[in-house]
Amino acid sequence: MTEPSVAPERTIASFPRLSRLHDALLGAKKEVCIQRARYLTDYMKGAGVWFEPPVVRRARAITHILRNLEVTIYPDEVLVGGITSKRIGAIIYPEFIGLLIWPELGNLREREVDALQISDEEIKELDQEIFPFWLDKVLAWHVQEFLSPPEPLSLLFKGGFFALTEAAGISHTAPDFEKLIEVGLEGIKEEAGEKIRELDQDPAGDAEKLRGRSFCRAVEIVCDGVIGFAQRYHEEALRLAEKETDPQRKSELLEIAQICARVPAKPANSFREALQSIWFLEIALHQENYEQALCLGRADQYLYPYYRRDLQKGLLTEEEAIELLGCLFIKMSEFVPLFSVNLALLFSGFPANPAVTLGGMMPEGLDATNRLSYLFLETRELIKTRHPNLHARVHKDSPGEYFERVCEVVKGGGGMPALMNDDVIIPALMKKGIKEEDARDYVVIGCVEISVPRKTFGSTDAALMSLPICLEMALNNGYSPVLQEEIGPKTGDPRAFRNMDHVLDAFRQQVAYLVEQMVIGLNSMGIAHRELYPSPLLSALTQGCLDKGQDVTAGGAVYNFTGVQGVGVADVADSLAAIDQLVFREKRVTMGELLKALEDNFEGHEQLLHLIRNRVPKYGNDDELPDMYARKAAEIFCQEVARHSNPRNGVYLPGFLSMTNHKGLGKFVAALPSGRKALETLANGVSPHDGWDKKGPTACLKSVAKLDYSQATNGVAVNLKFAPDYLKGAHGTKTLSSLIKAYFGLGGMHLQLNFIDEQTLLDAQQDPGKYPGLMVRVAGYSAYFADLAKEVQDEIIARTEHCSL
Amino acid sequence: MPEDGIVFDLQRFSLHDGPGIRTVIFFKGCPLCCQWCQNPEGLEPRPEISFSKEKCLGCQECQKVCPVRAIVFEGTKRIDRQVCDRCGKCVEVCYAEALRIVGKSYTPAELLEEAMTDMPFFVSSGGGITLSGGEPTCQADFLTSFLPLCKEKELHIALETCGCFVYEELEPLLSCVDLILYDIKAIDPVLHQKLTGRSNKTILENLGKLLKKDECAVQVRVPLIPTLTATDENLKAILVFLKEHNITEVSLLPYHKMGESKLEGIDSPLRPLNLARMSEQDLMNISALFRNAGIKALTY
Ligand code: SF4
Ligand code: SF4
Repeated sequence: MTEPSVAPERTIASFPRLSRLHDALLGAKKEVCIQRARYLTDYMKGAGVWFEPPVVRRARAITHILRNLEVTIYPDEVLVGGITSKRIGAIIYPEFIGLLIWPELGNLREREVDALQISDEEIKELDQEIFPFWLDKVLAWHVQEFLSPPEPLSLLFKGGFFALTEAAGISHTAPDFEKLIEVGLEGIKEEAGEKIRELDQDPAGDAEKLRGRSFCRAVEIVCDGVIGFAQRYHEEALRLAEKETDPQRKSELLEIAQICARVPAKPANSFREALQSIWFLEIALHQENYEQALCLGRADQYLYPYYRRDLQKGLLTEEEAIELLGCLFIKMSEFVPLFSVNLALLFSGFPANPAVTLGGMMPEGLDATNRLSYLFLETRELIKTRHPNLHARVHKDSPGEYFERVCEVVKGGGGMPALMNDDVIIPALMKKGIKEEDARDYVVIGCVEISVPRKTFGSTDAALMSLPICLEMALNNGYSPVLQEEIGPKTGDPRAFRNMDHVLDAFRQQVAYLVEQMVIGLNSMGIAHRELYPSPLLSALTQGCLDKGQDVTAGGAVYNFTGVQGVGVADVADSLAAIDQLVFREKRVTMGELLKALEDNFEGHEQLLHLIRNRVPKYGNDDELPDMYARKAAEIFCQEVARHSNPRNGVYLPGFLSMTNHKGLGKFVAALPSGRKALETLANGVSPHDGWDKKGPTACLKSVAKLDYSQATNGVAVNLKFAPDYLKGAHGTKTLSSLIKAYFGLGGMHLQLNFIDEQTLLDAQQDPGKYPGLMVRVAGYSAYFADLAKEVQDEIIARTEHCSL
Repeated sequence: MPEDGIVFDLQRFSLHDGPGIRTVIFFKGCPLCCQWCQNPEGLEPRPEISFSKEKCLGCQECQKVCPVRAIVFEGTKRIDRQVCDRCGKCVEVCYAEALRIVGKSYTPAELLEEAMTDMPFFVSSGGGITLSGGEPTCQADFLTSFLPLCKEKELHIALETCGCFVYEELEPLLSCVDLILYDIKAIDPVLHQKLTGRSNKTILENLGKLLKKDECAVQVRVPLIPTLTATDENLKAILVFLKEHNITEVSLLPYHKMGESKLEGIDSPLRPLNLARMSEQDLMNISALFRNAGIKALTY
């Protein structure tokens, strides 16, 4: 490549439009938007809908929403389209878990965690018109009533065991935006029409195939719905242009009108049209399924031809490209999820995680880094918005310059981009039956999950499950001390365990039981999604669906997976190490004494607590004993998960990320043999327990790299926090990149870094208004620090400050 | 049997003691006794017991096991140093880690294993190990068996030294060392004697010999202790000395208090200096002084 790739010295001051838009974003209140809920309800109240095939009904419902959702073009915008009617809005999905907010409506504005604005009239409409209609139409209700045996849902509602996020929606995918900009929605419609004609001419009248006809009809309907939505923006831009007195803005508005008349219906003709087209689809997809991790995928790859062509034709400069990317980042940050108080603790900081993946390898195996990869990084450096969640893929032949540029941008704060290791991930995906060229094309979904873009419906964050509670039940013969209930299988009185094999065996049985319950619950939900609320629009943009004539929820995609996360690997590892060393090897305590201490939450057992904390090695210190148990605990979860299949004819994939669920799930676990006290937080992702990695980042990363990631193909989260001044300047950047290279060489899969000093954080906690834009990486995602629950803030502050001297 | 080494700490991911990512090995024992010593627990050659009152639970387990009744419960003290024979029994039972042994024996092979743990990071960053202390050359016998093992593994080796060693003892080891980080504290012998307890005659001579020998790179470092070494007079004398020896680059190590907080827990002849930390401006002024004399001053 002959283009220059050294970053020119550009600052936000060179982008006045961007900085105005960014200020407007930061200044906007977060509000609830009830429009989607209103128009969906409106449509579903129609008597005729119950005679439509579900997939057609869904397509028409989405179309109805898109016909009515308020259209707004804000000052300065060149990329347009509101995902809600508010500047920053939260969407309500009443058919999924939207009703959870019902009892909290009155308190939304004042609540401590993730507060949201909503007017009295809006509350009234939800309370009287919208929510009552949905009572018996909620997906989880249907699952409970008709599909699932009682146990999985009763475990779900107890909290503490697992969160089944499919109750809230599926999403978590990277649709085929490449095809969208190449053929336009009209092209896709054409394909659906072609398919229908083909079916109509099938003399055999094959029942399976005929089933596909309604699906193809739904695709046509929903494509028209989206095209109509863009048309409304075309009209709005014309209307504004007419009134506009500033000639420059007037011509901008006319250009917007022109673009909205073309895309997403037609193929994109330019870089800007491609972005606008994708953004319209993002809006529409968010009306169809919930707002979690509808990802852009490898945007630096599929946008590159448009960028290069425009650049060569002199239609675009680098600066203009950055401005457009910045506009996209800002549009992507105009929505937040709506969580009830309990959920807000599990997923604190308004995560929605639409992700963009940069760099890495091309399907043919060559390095994929291009000029746009650098421009994405630069845009991120200029405006640190909540979204998109940026991920940088690297492999052993990634250009050193790209590697260092990534490190430099991470050092700028906010924890983005996170790094993903191609050399570990690609072989792991191939082991799961993914073709090599597809594996090389992988993207990151949301936080850390891994998926083949365009071809996969992977439900990568279907559930998160607590591993420590399994160990706890293994040590209590199936009993949960916090819930004070017999839950798991009877795995025997632990006082009779003679060696670690007995402990591990009991642990495995408890894991197997919980995984099984989780899978039954999830599979029931998967069926409900298919039967009640299919996703024709997403299916139109997922390869395989039109071929098979099947919705994504029915298994239409080329690849079908369900991804589930294990939470608390380090807690289990440290606990097993303590039992091994103290009970069986050194025989310093008996199992009975240990259990008594746990029951007493170590009160009156300070000696034992210190023995455990200080004399038993902990995961994260490059010590073989706990590291071996971390590997073992992860392996047990992976093996138990891998046994299961989903209703879409795909298998379950295990991963280890926790969002902020390690906090919430910790509240259901009493004291552990690791020395963690009752109800305290669990460890995050596969990171060590907070503050227990005492030998610095090299030891920590070596421990982490010992896990077997070839099985954890749904992705893992590893967090490392640095005081920014420790890796100052170009020299520090080099050191950081060599640290990461060595870690990846050792087999590490993922790394995200936080560069923030404690003082800044304490300050931000005291006075959130002072740092509205301070981003931190929470777990697999970044959030504004001010949006986080106090407890989560505390955790970030406490997370080992490596080398702060 | 080769002699064991006594090491009181191993610090991984150290970035400021030589190039790249390094593991610093702190050897026990030092011939000097600098007033500002950052690692006062490294002065004495023998292992010793440190006590941290913050960590003490008051459980009295230590008292139960001490064979010579050296455990006392008064003020910030826990050990009667006159009586204690450093058997380590109390440390054994102090799970709170209030009592700790400073200084552990390693065979050359054992220490090599520790030194090698971060090898992948050394390779990727051009780092290695740094011998520090205390004064590593105090354990020259141990180094004689240890360093060749390291070289065999192609470890990059840096040696931090105060320069107070018998040159003939070190010379055969120089082929194993890649970089020497050499402290110059004061030029006036009387001042040096006052600040460190020893004359600087050997130190300055040894540096001359090393520079002539040209076998390994030498980086001179100057600790900047306000009112003690960072005086106009001393700095000027250092400049003259550096010029005489054609040294064109130094590292400046500004004072910080970290070492002083350790004094309370050990039996040390040193007392906290409690000096104010050096301001950025002072540091810049001193850097400029060196720069103007044509010597590049590195600060971390
Ligand atoms: S054993 Fe340790 S914690 Fe207990 S009294 Fe002695 S010094 Fe304190
Ligand atoms: S080291 Fe031995 S002699 Fe000294 S205080 Fe401890 S137990 Fe007593």
